[in-house]
Amino acid sequence: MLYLDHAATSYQKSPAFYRAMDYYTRTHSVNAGRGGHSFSISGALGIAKTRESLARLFNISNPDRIAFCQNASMALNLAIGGILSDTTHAIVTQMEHNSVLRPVHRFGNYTMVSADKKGFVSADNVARSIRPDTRLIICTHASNVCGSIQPIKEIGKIAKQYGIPLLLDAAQTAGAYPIDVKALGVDMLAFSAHKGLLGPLGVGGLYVSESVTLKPVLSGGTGTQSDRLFQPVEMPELLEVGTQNTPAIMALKASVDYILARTPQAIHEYELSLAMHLIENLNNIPGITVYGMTEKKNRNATVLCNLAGMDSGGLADRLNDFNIATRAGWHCAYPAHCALGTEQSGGVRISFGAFSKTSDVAKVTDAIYRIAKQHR
Amino acid sequence: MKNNLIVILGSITNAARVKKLLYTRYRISVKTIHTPAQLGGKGCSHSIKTQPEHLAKILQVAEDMQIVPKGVYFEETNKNGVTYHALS
Repeated sequence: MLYLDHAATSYQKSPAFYRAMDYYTRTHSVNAGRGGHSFSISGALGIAKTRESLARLFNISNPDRIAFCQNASMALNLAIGGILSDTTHAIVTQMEHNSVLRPVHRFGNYTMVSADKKGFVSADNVARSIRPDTRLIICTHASNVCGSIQPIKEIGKIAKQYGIPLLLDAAQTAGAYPIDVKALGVDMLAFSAHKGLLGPLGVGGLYVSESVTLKPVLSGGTGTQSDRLFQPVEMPELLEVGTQNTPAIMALKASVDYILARTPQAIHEYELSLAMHLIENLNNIPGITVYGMTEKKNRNATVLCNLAGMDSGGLADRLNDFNIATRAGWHCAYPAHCALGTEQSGGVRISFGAFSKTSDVAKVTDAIYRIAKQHR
Repeated sequence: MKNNLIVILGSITNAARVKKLLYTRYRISVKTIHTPAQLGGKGCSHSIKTQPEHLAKILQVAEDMQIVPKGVYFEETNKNGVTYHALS
């Protein structure tokens, strides 16, 4: 199987991660930080080391401001639910994933900033949407549909100017693109362990800067302050409820260290080179349309396309017959498809990862060429 | 001209359950597909695709599993392309 659905999850991991996952599952399937026995303490220390590696990756001063949870969706819910209420207003963009749009929609009071046909929002339009009751600005770093990378630095400046926290959905960029929370002006950052961070499924996290106070969305056991009925206010216990996936979080450190060594910039440049090669090929196949940003600037390695006269699901099914994994449809981001002009058809998303090969481009190009030729 | 049957089942879970029971009970193989855009709205739903003669058994299996199909279509492929005809 040729796996080209890295925007969903990274299929291949580093050898160090596989070894770590096996090792920690065998030796540290423990409830970290619960009790005083050496296994529990060792697990907690191991998780703390992963926090440190992530802090280095994102230029976060205090690793304890990173809380682990189940995935980026949960991290976003913790952030959104921790700030918004029925008297607050939020700003989101048209390029957001449902993991942002649905929790924000539950609160009801928000402005969606439009994106252009290439999938970009403008920081000026974000500024124009700010109201006296705006309490949160949420922006995806890179679109999960077409790969467009948003002007976060500019949006961060605006957020700082107005004293409104900026929540960055880094599900598509963490590990696969350089992120410096200080340089970007990001107050909260939600990430998946299993996409660009090349780590385990079932783990995600939320960084919360010292300038933000969240109210707890979930309550439960933390292994601390057991005599109190209120969730601890200190990070990360404020957000880490119940038993953590100790071996998976410990193994995540191996992935993060791999990325630190290879560097997110180098990974991004490599993946992007594959995407640009594919875009160039697809532009030469009659009947194929590539959506969004087709130049090298401000995009990652996610490519959205369609074949004229064929349902996007049909094209993905045909690619599956060639043993090529892609994802068709609306990618849990229908408004983004409206911006790109694919709201009726959806699209086929082809996304490269850190371990994709240059030969993958030729293979998927060949398959699409054959499908298009047969379809004519 | 080729005809296929498409039964829209909604979630991948429903599609997988119906597919499994069709095979274990009747040895009928079906393909799980993304519901074509023309049929499924914007919900990214899943359907099963197979020969039209299996319709009665599919509906029986769905009923037994308390799954209500969201649509049943014949898919016609000819030199002019693909068209869908609603059965219900």
